[in-house]
Amino acid sequence: MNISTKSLPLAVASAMALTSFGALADYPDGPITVVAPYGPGGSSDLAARTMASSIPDYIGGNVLVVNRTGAAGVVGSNFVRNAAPDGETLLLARYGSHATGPALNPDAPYDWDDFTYLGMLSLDAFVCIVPADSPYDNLDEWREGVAASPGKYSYSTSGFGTGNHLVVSLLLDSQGIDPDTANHVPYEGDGEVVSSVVGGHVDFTCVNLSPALGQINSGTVKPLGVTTPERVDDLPEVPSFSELGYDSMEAGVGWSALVGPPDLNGEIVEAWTAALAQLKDSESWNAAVLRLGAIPSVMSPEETKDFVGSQVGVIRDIVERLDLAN
Amino acid sequence: MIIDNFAQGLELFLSWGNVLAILIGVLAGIVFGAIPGLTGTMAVALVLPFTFSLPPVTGILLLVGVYKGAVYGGSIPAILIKTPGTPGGACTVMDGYPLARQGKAGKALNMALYSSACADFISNLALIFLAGFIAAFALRFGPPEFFALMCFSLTIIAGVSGSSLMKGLASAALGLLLASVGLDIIFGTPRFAFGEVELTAGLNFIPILIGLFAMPEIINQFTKRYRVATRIAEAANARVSWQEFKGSLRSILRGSVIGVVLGAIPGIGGAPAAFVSYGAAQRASKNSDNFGKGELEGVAASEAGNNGVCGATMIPLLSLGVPGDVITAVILGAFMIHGLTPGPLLFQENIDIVYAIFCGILLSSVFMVMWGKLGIRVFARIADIPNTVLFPAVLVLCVFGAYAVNSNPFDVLVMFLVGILGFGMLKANIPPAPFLIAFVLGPMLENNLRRALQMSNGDYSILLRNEITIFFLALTALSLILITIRNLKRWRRRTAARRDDASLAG
Repeated sequence: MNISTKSLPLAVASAMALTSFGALADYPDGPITVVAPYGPGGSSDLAARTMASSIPDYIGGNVLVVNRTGAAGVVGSNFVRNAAPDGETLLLARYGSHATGPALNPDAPYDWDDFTYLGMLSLDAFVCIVPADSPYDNLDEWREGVAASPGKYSYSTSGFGTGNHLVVSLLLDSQGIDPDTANHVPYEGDGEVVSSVVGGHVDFTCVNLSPALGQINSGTVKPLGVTTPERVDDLPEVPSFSELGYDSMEAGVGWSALVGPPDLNGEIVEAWTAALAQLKDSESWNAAVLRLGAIPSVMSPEETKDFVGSQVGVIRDIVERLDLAN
Repeated sequence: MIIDNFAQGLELFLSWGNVLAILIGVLAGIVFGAIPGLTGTMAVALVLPFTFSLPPVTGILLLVGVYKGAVYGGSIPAILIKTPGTPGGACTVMDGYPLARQGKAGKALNMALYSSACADFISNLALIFLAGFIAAFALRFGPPEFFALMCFSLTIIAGVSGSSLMKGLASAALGLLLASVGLDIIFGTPRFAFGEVELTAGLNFIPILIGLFAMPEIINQFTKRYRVATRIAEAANARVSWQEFKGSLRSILRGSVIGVVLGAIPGIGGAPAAFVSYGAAQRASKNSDNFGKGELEGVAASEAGNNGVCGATMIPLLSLGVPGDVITAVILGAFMIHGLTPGPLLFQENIDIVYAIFCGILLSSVFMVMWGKLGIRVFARIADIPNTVLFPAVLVLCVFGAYAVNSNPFDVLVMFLVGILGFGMLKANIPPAPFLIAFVLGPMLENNLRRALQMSNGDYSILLRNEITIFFLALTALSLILITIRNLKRWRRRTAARRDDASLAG
């Protein structure tokens, strides 16, 4: 005991000396908070927590995940936008909070490019599903059925302006069906969305792959297609919309990215770029992301911003053309 | 078949790690649940990363232990300091706190513990033996069925309104009004948000809860003259006698069944189950007038309702892969992190894991009693702390609790404002319980009605689409008729008494 207290200052000093060799002498200076703008247990929360459990070795500090929920991701995102740009408060940005939210809601207090992009973490395929007892087994049958009886079919989403709201609109539009042909039934959270289809209370939806995967595998819902350009490894039998000839569905690929408040210091951005590049090769992180039904896809800050920016462009066009915003 | 499965599960379960996981989980849950503002959801989210590196069964049992502990733990501050630790504990305040003020804190705590553990055990049995049957029923609950159930649940307001139905309805109306703050569910239109981002998210439940119950009590203490409390702690009052337990047994069993049924339906949760159970107990009781004034059976019914939910929320999770609430959503995440997918496939491919979890879950009720008995000895002392020390400390806890929910100072502001409102209600003798019930159930009622009408494209006949909706709507009508008759009688009695007084005076 005595010895260890004596040697403690030495250990601290040597640790400090070691870190000071890097260019990032003083970052991170304390624990880093990553705000997850949705509730615990959801895809964004799990993306943040799997990242937080692997990243400390690479960034050199602890990462704490805090859920700040409300208004479909707007409250947490807005909090980080207004936080001090010291790199101690970051955000796990999502397709819903940054790509679809601001596009569908002109009153949103921020825009997608108000943030400093640090890097993409993973992509999420959306999968469009129908109940097990639905008369439709594939996209063609489904299209004919829905187009033939306006007002008869309903779909669930996790709320106005959320990712699945937009992806369903994309789906209907890509099939040449007016979005008003089917009835929009908004729920709260992906879990409720999936169970509304399992219970047969609505006729279809498009949802993140991870909450739907178990249902698809056990046959309680039937998949029509996935939004990623290629098929996903978890569902080798399910076609991608692109291969069926509907490229516009690629604007319906979800994602999780790490972003910071506006005007984040270049050194902090570099520190994270380097840390995420190492995370990319972490076996345990890759395995965890795959098990959650997402696709590990670390990108540099520039690549991330390009990816999101081009997606937002497509989404804005569709929102305007279909007059979806309120 | 089931015996074989149990043997397999037991083999996988029997290790010190698993027993320890559930033992520690229940304790951690009780502590989290007992601290206002630290909810079970937060506890499981914090524990989740630890489970990444544990074997699947151990990790999931740890989470389940935390969950169950937290639901029980919420009753402790509800009884002692009028501050429910978790939403489900809100109903326990109504009789638990009056009992504590009467010097019977130990008795109330013990009853809450026994009732919680019994309901938890029954709920676990339902999970193990009736999962398939209950899950199929629960899946039939779509928006129209939900709406009908919520209509019926709202009739409890009449029971918890105390002496004046009018005041109860006024309280409920306030609750509905505050519940409507935020984005409307269908179009995302802001309501009462005044352009504030914080308000578009709506008002958080925990700050409202603390503001409504604990704050008025604290403010009220400051209006009183300083005096040393001279309450005598009576040892005899700490125990629940067999007689008392037996007297509440029917309510405990009824509450457990209500908890199981409501818990299995995704999206309802512990708070409504507690209120429905409480309402049913009050209706059936001979002492129904004593409910809300310190009726031990009220504590038993409320706790049975919210703990009865615990095992049952695992039913849709395990048998369908559908999480019923936020906590089971986290547990679902833990399954997925380990490469397991809850649902029918889990029962085919990993039956040993399912039954190992069942074995652990059965143990959770036992550990709950064990930790609870140890804890009550310590906690019951809180009721003996002089008010001059206790209430300032509770105030600190309230501020912390309101802040901790979402690390948001705005919530603290909400708590204080609702606290002032609550104080006004206390002075005007307006009961807070109807406010709370309306605040919780109101949005469920509205959202499901609107969902149902979206589904049917505006056709109201969807509300009578099957026997479930007809059953609950008929029950609602019956309750309303009974409430009207009872209040008419009461009104006649009162006017008659007044006339007698007048004639006597004249």
